Amino acid sequence: MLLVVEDLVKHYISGGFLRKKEVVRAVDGISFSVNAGETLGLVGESGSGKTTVGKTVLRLIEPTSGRILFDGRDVTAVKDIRPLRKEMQIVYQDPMSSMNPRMRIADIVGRPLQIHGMVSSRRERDEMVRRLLERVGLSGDHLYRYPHEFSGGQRQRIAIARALAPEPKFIVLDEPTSALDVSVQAQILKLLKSLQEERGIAYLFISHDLAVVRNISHRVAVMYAGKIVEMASVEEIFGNPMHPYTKGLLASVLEPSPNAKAPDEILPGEPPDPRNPPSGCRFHPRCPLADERCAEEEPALMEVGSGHWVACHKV
Amino acid sequence: MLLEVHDLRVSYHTDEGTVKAVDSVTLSLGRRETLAIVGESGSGKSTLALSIIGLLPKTARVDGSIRFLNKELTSLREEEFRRLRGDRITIVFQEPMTALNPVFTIGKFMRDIYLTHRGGTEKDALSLAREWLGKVKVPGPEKVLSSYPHELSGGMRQRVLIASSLMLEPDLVIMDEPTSALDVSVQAQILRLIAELKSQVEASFIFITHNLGVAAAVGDRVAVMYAGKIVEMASKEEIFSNPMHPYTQGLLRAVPKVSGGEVEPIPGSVPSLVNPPSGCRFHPRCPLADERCAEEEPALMEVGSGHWVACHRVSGSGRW
Amino acid sequence: MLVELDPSTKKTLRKALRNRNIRVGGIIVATFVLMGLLAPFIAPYDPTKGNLRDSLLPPCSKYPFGTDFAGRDILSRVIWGARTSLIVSTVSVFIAVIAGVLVGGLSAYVGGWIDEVVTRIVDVMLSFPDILLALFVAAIVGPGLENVIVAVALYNFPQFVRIMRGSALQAKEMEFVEAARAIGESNASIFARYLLPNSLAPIVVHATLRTAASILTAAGLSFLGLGVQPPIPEWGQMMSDARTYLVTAPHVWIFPGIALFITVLGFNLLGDGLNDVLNPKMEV
Repeated sequence: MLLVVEDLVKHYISGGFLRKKEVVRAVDGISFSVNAGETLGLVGESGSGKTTVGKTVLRLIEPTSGRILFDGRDVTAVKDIRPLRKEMQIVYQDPMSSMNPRMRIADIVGRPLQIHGMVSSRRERDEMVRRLLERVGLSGDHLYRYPHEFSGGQRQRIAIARALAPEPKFIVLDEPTSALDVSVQAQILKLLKSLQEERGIAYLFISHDLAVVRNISHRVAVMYAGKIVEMASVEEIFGNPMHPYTKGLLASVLEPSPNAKAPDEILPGEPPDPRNPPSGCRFHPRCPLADERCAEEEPALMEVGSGHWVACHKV
Repeated sequence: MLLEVHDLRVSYHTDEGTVKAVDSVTLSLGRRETLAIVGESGSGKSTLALSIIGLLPKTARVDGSIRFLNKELTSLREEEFRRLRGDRITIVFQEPMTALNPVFTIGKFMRDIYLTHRGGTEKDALSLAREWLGKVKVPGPEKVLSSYPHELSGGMRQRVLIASSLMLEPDLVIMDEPTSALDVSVQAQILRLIAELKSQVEASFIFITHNLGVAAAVGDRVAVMYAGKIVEMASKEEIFSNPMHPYTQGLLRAVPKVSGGEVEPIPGSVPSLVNPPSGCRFHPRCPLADERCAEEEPALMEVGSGHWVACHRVSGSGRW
Repeated sequence: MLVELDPSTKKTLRKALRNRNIRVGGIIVATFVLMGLLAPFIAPYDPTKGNLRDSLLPPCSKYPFGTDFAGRDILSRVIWGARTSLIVSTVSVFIAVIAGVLVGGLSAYVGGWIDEVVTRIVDVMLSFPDILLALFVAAIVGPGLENVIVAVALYNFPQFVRIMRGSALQAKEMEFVEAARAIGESNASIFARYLLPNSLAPIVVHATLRTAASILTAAGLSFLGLGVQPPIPEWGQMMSDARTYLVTAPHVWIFPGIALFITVLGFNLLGDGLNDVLNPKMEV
């Protein structure tokens, strides 16, 4: 296994001295793993903590507790994380805000190469950047342009080229297609898949869009209020969803079809405030199956079938 | 017909040149009908909506005709438009926070809408507001009336705006991506609510969205826009079972589905509206394009009962 | 390799050239700078040598601006005075910008107690009115050209710390700074390549405005006798010398006064114009 996350917790503590102390339980004890060359889809609504998980795994956010093993090394324990950065990368939702607007493409994509000592001269760097740009479907002549001169889809390709540059084994993709138009989203999904096939990179694909996750993932973990509530292969999650939340999410999805109508069976209420999550199973106030036990006792994530994990008393 | 838009053109002058945001759009809407307008960014769908409700920036140039309740809206004076807006035509935006004044309570917001257009007493206003908050299934309407916008969740705020947009029983409600900022589960609730309200009110709806699934769920008819033009328009059943324009077909193939299957991207990206492609604006990305498509702009033609397509290759292939 | 200007830079330039404040302010500032640089070549007389027989002459064909009590040509002194003001204002603002950018930027980037301490010190410094702080310093270090520069630099310094800190704090929250960490950039590199270039626009604007204020302050110090010392020509000092002849020979203070007024106005116009162009959020 390339990445193993054990009991990861991230709490934000605000207030204190004069104000009321508040603890935001963004991520509250989750475990998962990602195999080499595999895509794990991480689905959830706003406030589920999915983005925090992605950034904590890369130690862009310091975890409160838990262990993150990458390729056998403990990410949370290393003193200098920078050499590890070569092997784990990230692509953000909004490529514009994730690029320095005053840098040229040659620098944006070329910096990782220089930082990790993969090139010895500017010419060599520019040559490699040119090849990377061409690989992600852009013209190599764009080297000396600035990010704002590109369309949203092209910028996301540049962001992907930057993530590819240090030849990583693992990339966190944080809603990489959510800001894009439908027609362009499909291009990026195809590109990501072909890069994975070609280079064997593992992805942690974070998204709120179930259809997109289905398209790109091998396995899927569903998050709700800082917890993983269900995790299984993509066929299992979509073919045999077990957690009431997963079922509800799937029923909420609208597909373009001639007999489509507004969904009938839907989840009531809204995702909880992470500062004040419900007791017991965090989903119980919205759950059609909930009983007293659900309100009191937190269900553990248990394996109910081969590789199919569910955290629900009712399963 | 409640609304008839004929050959509408909207353009802006910018530093880069003239942006033709909406170019020669013709459509009509009957009573109690819902038209979903689907398009990607820069398709002109929001500009079209704003021109109908007269909320375009002053720098915009509008040509063509918009007839609503037998009035020509494009030549209406601002104070006449103000009387119409919020009363006969209302709009719900994507981001409810922009529509709600943060320093006013929901009660004051809804009451002011009533008093502005109907006059009458505060008591009448508040009781109508309360009634409508009940209809949009806001839990505890009384408490919501005395709440400030930031005290409500995104979904609740959007319910409040839907109640406000319907409480004066308008003839036309424009919904501009009303569920796009919401979580999947909340989006489903709001769409369910809109579907229920549609059968209770006399209003017609124009529903702007980028999401084909949302368009399919709410629209009686669906219009697909690309680069400022309507490229295809038909009943929901027709457009999703028999899409004819290569762009519509491409979009449907490009959308990932929870039922699985591969996606097939449309090559290229959405064109600039300052300098759009010649002929058919979709031709540089179209798998069927030939020379004629690059030169001659296709007209929106009726190819079947109520099914309109703007494509040389459809009418030329004799598929109708 | 010659890299062509990218379109946004070109657009900003075009916008700048269309801005009336920039055009008017720019012409005034350019004239002032040229006057200062070329003083030895364009001044008709030595500004320090006078002819006592020509004392306090009103403007005439020989002396277009007249002469002062020592019979020195006022036109030449105004031209040389531009040079003094130019040196004092640009050098002091330059020192303040460099120091302010480093202190403010690092304070914002490092954060924690260092940031707290810096912010408090700056707040205390800013609570003094400009001229008072400069007076205080000048009174301690004594008069003279170098000391005026130090005094003016010191009173400009907290302003730049605050502006730089604010804009660096803003830039620090940008996603591209996190993205820079994600590719393995070092702290120093993040500061120099990502934070600094994205924090400079307000600094440029403010430096222009502070140049105007600095010219005024330097003149004020000299007027009070705490600034540049005779015989170096300086506008504030020239006006101070004219106090005795306020009514009898008004040309002695009018011309340096006009020069001071126009120069300060020029820098302010330029600063406002740059603000319009470089900080587009202010646009309606």
